[in-house]
Parts: sequence; C-alpha cells; structure tokens
Amino acid sequence: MPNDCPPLLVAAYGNEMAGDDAFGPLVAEAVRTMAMTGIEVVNLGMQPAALLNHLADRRAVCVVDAAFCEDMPDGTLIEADFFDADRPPLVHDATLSTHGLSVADELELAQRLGICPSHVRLVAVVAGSVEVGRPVGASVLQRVSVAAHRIAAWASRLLESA
Amino acid sequence: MSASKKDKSDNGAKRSIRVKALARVEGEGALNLTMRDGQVEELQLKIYEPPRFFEAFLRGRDYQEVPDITARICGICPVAYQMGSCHALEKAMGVFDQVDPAIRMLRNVLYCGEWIESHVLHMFLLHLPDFLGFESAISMAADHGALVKRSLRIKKAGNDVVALLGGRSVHPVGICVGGFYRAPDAAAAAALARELRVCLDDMCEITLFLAEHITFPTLEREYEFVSLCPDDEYPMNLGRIKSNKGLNVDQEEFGRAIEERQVAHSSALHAVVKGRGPYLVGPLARLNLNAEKLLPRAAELLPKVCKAVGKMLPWQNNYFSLLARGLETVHALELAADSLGNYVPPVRTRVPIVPRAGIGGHGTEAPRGICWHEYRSEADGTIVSARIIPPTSQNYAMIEADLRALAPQVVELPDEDAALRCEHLIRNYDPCISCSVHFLKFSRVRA
Repeated sequence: MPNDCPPLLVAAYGNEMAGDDAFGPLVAEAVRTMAMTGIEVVNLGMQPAALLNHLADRRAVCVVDAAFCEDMPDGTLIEADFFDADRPPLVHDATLSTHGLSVADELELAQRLGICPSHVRLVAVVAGSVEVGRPVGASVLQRVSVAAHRIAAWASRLLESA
Repeated sequence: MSASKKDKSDNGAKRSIRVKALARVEGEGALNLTMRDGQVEELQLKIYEPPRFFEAFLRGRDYQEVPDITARICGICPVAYQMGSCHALEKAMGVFDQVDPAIRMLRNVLYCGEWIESHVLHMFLLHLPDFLGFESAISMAADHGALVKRSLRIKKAGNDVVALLGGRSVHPVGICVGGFYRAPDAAAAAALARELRVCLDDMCEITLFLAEHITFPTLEREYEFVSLCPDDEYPMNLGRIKSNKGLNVDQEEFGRAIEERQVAHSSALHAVVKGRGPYLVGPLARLNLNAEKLLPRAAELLPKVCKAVGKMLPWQNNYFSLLARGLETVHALELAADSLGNYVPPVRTRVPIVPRAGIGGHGTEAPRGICWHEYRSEADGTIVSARIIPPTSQNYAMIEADLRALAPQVVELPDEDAALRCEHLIRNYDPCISCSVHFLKFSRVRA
C-alpha cells in the first residue's frame, strides 16, 4: 500500500447476485459516483479477507455490508462506530459471513497487526432474502441512497477535521 | 446454531458428536458422528452446495455471459469457474485448438494469482492456527504477527496478479471465451514481477520453516489421487485427468468416468470414481501425481520439505496438504514472476468465435481441486444445458471416509477437542464454503 493512498476508505462487501446482499456494492457505486476527493471506494464482493489488503496507512474506513438482525425489520439501516463500546455486537461466528473471515474478525486481526485505522465506521442494512438469483428487496433498495449520503457526510466531517 | 440435547441411549458406551452450523448464503455444514463401543455407528457430513443454482441460471444465456456469471459462484476461486467455462465453451464452439500460446500463458498467470491468494489465505488465516494450537488467526497474530504480515503481503501479490489480468481482483471481468478482453500493460507486469520475486523468496523460507517446526497429526490413508496430468507442465488449465489407481481419461470423458450420487443426509452430491469409490482432488493429489513438473524453486524446496517431515512422496497424510499448498504457492509465484518478467503483449488477446451448436467439457485445477464444466449450446450460442462439478463436492465422500478413520482417535477426547480435531481434518480439504473456518459448531449427545 503506497503511503499516498487516499486517507479514507469505503469498503463494501456483498454479492450483487444474491438479493439484499447486493446492498454493499450498490452503496459503493453510489458513493463512487459522488467523486469525493480523499476517498477510495472498493467493492470487495465475496472475496475473503480482502479488507486486510486495503487498511494500511488509512485514517478511516467505512465498511458497508448487509446484516442479519432477527429483531429488526428488513431495510433497517444500522450505523455504528466499531470502537464504540455501546455499539450493537458483531457476530464473530464466520458461519454468518460469506467472506472467509467475518468482518469483525478482519478488523480485530487488523488491530492485532497494527494496521487498523483509528476511525472505523460500520454501515449495514438488515437484509431480507439473500437467495442467489433474487432481486434486491424494495425496503433495502430505498436505503442505498440514504446510506451513501450519510457516508459522504461522515467522510466530509473527517476530511474537514484533518 | 447448535442445540444440545440429552440422549437416552441404552448404554454408556454410545457417544454422539454433533457439529452443526447455520450459514448465511453460500452453504451450510454440519457433522453428526455417533460412535458405539469405539466404533463409528453413523457419520454424516451435511453440506449445501450453491453452484447447483447456477446450472439452471445459465440455461438460455449467451455463451459469452457464462464466464462472468460463473465467476460469482465463489468469492475465493472465481478464476477457476471462469477458466473451466472458457475452455469448455471453446470446445463447444470449435476453437479450443486455435487459442494462442500467449493467451494460454496469460491464463496460467491469472490462475497463479488465484492459487497464491487462495492457498495463502487458507494456509495462514484458516489452517495454520489448527497446527499451532490457536483458536483463530487473531489469537495466532498475537504471537506470530510478523508471519501473518508476511503472508498478507504474499496474498496481496496474488490479488494483484488477478487484478492485472482480470481487471479487478474481485470477480474479475477481463476474461472471455477465446481469451481476454485486453492484454495487461507491460510496465505494470514488470513491476508486479519484481514484487512476486520478493514474495517467492519469502514463501520458500516460510514453507520450509513450517515443515521444520510443525508436528503433523498422523492419519495415513490409501487415497485415490485424481488430478490433471499434462505432459510438460504442472497442472493448471490443461492435461488428461489421471489417478494413481488407473484412471486416465480425456477431459471430455471425466464427467462419465465419475458418478455423482445423491445421499439422503445431504443436498450436496457425492462423487466417486465409477466402479471404485471416493477419490481426492486438490493440492495433495496434484503434488503426488505431478511433482516432477514443479518449477526449479519448488523442485529444489521439495526434498528439503520431505526431509523435514520425514516422508517422501507420495504423501498419504492429508494434513501435509498445508505443505503441498506451500509448495504450490512457490511454484505459482515463480511461474507468475517469470511469465510477467518476460512478458510481451500478445499480437491478439482472443480468438474470434462464430457461435455454433456444440458440446464441450473441460476441467481445470481450482486451488482445491478439479473444477469441471460441460456446456451444450444452440447454433446462436445460447446455452442449452450446463453441468458444473466443483472440487469440494468431489471430496465430500473422502472427507467422510477420513472422518471415519479419525473417529477412534477422538472418541475419548473432551467435547471441544473432539470437535476441533474433526474441524481440523475437514480444513485439510480447504472446502470451498466461504465460511470454512469455524464453520462448524459443536454439541454432543452423551448417555
């Protein structure tokens, strides 16, 4: 990772062909079209442990993904600071991840290795169907733009405070 | 999630080990193992295999869409699905023999990227913690952070190779039936070759270190090893399919040389060699059948590794698959470094194709074993039928056989240890379930 990489990273996970799991890639594309300076947007798709390749020398990262949460309706937007002790717990069980290591595990491993940025934002939508071949559900689709704009606002605040 | 319950068995000698998991999208794995008086009474490995969806998806699609669609079967090995589909469709379209050597070279380099990325991920983040006694890569990183960082650098080099050839490292889009949409930039190839050389030196050192410092569990088995066996190179994209027990078939015949069986306890098919039984695909099979074709650095390393573990090839202990992956990573790094270091952009990046009605079958070597595809097309190139045999489904029956052999060793162990030993064995196969690490949860029913 070159030292001159953009300080902010937006990293999306998800399978564009698996219903609501497309949320991450769709948000990534929406943020990318905003063409903000100082931000790199990467779509990690279903690639396992890919986030680790992109963390070094970053000031902040925003991870975007679909999530399961039994007691929340589909389409609920969840935003949290990874380092906030009061944030919703992340499931470490890799059975709930399509990414080889769960996102939580990747971030913890990055912390152990000393490559985790000081700001880590989590943005997720509660997914309904993630069956392969299904379209994105309406309740999730309408949150894509909302999530993208909130990420842009978060990024702007960080960049202004730098 | 796992659920415990009490068993009302009729005597105290019965023990059931249940390892159960719930997966999100791509699959689910569960293990039920019941033993009575130290003997296996029932063993069922249940895994759902997602590629079956895709065979139906592909019907009615244009042949040129297939590589991009099949790339989405797996986040770990999209190149394998792309290579399988491209080769099979080139046969169906009648252009297989027209593909230029330069394109074949670039395909091998692309595959090197995937092998490096996949093998290193599995070795260091998923499998090595088992051998070193850590719960996970996270806890392992506390004691072996430098090693994990070195592995991440090598893994990234693999990602970069896929990105260079495929346009991006995630579900690459630069591959088409007939070749590539564009050739990589020569300067970028040269720069990446330099990084690959650094990683090559490091991987040689790490692989030997692992061979010298790990104590491998013992489980010697009589496997039928099956892999591609080309005459003049280590297997990747081409070659007849052979085994150490007499299988020797053309690529097109492979789908008929094996039999995919439905089993009552799993929605995944179990493959066997017709007339014989379970077989093993993957790095151990490739290495045992093709060791003499390794490139110089891996060939030079192999006897040192054999000496360190006290075993000459053929290795019959699948725990050595960790080292087979290490040796294959060395081979792939050298092949990619040499090829990109000497790279000259090809005259053409793909062969022209006029669609036709046809059928073609072909397998390539995914990181975890043969990934075989067969397609039938209509005259306009529309896909009529598709058949995909992924490597993990070919290994299921052998995984179960291994677990049966392992069971007597774990029957007296505490629950957690028994579950870990079973998971460790399954991880020898690097099963292509994205969640393969800790994808099993454990509960036990004991009288």
